[in-house]
Amino acid sequence: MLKNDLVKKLILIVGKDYVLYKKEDLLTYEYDGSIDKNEPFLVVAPKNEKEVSQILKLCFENNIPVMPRGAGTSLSGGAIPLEKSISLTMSRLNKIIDIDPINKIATVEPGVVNIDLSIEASKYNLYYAPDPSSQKVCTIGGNVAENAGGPHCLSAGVTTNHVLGLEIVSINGNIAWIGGQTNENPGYDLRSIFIGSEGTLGITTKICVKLQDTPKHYYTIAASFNSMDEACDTTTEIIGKGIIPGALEIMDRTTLDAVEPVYNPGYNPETKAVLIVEVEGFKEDIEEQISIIKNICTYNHSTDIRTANDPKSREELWKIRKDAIGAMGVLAPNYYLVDGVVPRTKLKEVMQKIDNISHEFNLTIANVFHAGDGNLHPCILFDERKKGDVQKVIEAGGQILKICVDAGGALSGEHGIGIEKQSYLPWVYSPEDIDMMQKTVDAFTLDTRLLNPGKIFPPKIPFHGSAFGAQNNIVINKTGGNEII
Amino acid sequence: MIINEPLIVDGIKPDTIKIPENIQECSSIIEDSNINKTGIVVFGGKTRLNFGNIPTKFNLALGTTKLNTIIDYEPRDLTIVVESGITIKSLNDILIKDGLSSWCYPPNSEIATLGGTLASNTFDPFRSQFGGLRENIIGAKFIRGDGKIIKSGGKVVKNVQGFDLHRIHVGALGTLGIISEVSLKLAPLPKNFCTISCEFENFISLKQAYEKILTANISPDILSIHVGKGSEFLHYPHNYLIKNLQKKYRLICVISGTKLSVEKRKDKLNILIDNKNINFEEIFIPKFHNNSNFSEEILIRTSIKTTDAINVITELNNLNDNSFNISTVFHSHFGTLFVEIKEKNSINKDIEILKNFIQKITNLIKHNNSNPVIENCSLELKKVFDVFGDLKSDFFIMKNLKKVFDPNNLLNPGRFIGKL
Repeated sequence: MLKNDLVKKLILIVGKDYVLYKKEDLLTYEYDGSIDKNEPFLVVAPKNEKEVSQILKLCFENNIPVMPRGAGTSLSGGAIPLEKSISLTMSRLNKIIDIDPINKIATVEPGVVNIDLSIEASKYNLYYAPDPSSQKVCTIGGNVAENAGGPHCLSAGVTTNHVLGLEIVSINGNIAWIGGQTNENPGYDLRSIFIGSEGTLGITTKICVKLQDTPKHYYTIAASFNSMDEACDTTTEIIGKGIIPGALEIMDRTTLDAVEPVYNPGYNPETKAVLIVEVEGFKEDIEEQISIIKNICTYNHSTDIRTANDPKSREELWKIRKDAIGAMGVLAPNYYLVDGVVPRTKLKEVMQKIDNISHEFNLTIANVFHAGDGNLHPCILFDERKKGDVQKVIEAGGQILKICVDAGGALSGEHGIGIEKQSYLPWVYSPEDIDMMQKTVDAFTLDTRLLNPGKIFPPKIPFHGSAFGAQNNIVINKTGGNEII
Repeated sequence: MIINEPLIVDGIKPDTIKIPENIQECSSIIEDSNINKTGIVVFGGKTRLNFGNIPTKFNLALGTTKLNTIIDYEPRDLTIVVESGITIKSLNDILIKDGLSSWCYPPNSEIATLGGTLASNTFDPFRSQFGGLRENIIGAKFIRGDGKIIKSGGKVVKNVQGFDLHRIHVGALGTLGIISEVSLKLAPLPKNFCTISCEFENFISLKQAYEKILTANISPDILSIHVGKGSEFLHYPHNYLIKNLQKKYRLICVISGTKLSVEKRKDKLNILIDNKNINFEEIFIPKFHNNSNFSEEILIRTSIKTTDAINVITELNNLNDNSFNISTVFHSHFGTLFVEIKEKNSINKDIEILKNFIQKITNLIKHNNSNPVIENCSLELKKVFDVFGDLKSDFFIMKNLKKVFDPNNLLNPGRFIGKL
């Protein structure tokens, strides 16, 4: 089908204001939160599931790939259109349809911004637990696609633990509910596969989520350490003592250097790591846990412990953590945020290796991460205008992920595979494992693979970094091992 | 290893029973089964063999009980990797030494295997506070219908690398693959527990007490309503308490935490419930390993919203039927409602009357926005019902999935929803 004909047909479905096809209009949609970019074929913004269904049916009949897009905050290139995809932007499906405070569930459209749901639910002393750092802008639909987490997912779990059901539109336009408004439903638990599938299986048009009671009591501490090793040991020991805090986060010296001029938290220049621990629940439980945690911090030579147990001081302690990535602009014009997971007991060892990579590549790496669940976020700082920097950054990121995998960890804890890590997938899965996932795509997409094509699975030609003239040259040898050349 | 002990599913006896020594052998048996298109029913502790529709083909019974190795366990990581044939009790006995738990306590856990518990999604009582098996499985290896061993997920608590294919096996009754290895997220055992039980004169008083607890910031690990005297299984894990209570309407609440916090909430509950029939007892976890045999009565299970569950229980409580006794248990903390139906006169059974009565109950549940599953019933009833209920708009995806996971339809054929 010619582009002009397609535009005309799409206008008939959504109206002329909601189809973008001129080059200048498409510019914004080339990007997401990753370092990659690519121009979409065109952009279309439906307003409800019926329009989504009609669009998909049209694409199915004409073999046109479709990429769903939320707020475009993906950090793995999930919202970068490949293979001349239509960018299906879900921003108009942004209604909170219902909050049921008695049963503690909410039904929302996918374009609802994460924090807006918690703000609305707070009227009933409830909140939505997954809280990615981008929660002020990212959408619940995007969170579902990436199985997003956040600092407070340590005890509460990630998106998949909070979604009860989804209304999805299949590539042929069929509208179906998977799951529902209750914890379990007869048949295969399709939502388990769908959540975290990065838009490759279907388009979400409604989401039913669980809400939690807002904790009546909480206590937050920020403990300073003169070495990263001590902060990591403290993390392992807190969990080892049988305490699962609501959140357990670490920021390193480089991160403190970034936030200091912006928020002036005033940490001692000698401080090499700050550990934020938040405990919530019953007052008596909190008091006992905080006492143990403070003792562990002191035992590991914490130099200073800041505390907060009221909303204002709590917000102060959290502000620098939640906005840390935004502050990195103080140190460098660009950053590349890596997302890997290691067993909690390997934190210290892996952090030392990341430090070695920083020296080896002569790159500044800031670390601000979910220590409690071993989810690392090395933030590699660079300047894309410097020749060879992007190539170097990608190589360093790849090596960090290899270290995570070799330590028994995972390629991603919450950002997904997208474009960024698709070449690394054979590090964790055999060709049969990957083939099984692709067959799962076939089962959902009626053998078309038209939804968000070119993502997750190892590509023939890697795309990662190509926008900057850099490419991730991974050689996959016959035994399944890999090396970076 | 080939054995010849009796193993019958819905009246069908297999030609062969095999219990492989390891995963590779298990994989080879399944691969070979493709040559003759052998129908396979997988078994672990054989505690749930009656669950599911009638198999369309049952040539080989394949046991997993010898796959019981601990592969990787680091208590400080709060994770464990085990083979699926390990019994739940053996698993929890290892963990309790480190003050940890899988938070999986199904009935018959001395013989129930982890794989079987996952595949049948057997209800266990601690699902709300600590997550069900679906929440706690972080990775798995499973053997597909063609014998290929497939890995999904990993052994760290957070993992978004490809699809969560391991979770799809929870409750799939082994129809998509045989779970051979499981990675689980663990949680620490609270040091103090208290179980509060109370009986009431009527349903209204029970409901009032229940609603007070729901809104009182008590955060129970278990909060369940028991109406009627059902089987041991129905009241599991509190059957030992229920049998000592005389009245028809009972409420169970379990709380845990530090000693001080448990004491404080206990006092709060005492004031809230304000009932002379309230009892408190400190419990400790191994008590949950009691062997409540699976219900022999007709048992319906449904996942339901609290408000809808109360409607269903109210209507069932008002239903006076001369032919049947109905008992209900609602595990409020996870939204699971069990309805047990027992014929008052088991002689001269009229299948038509029974069928109509079950339909009446399932329609009532459906009318309250829930999708009931018949967890236990006779062979005669299985001939007239799909025990998994009505097919929904997503069934075409399920059908497609079955085709890619088990192309020759060998794994538990015909036993799942829509006779998949």
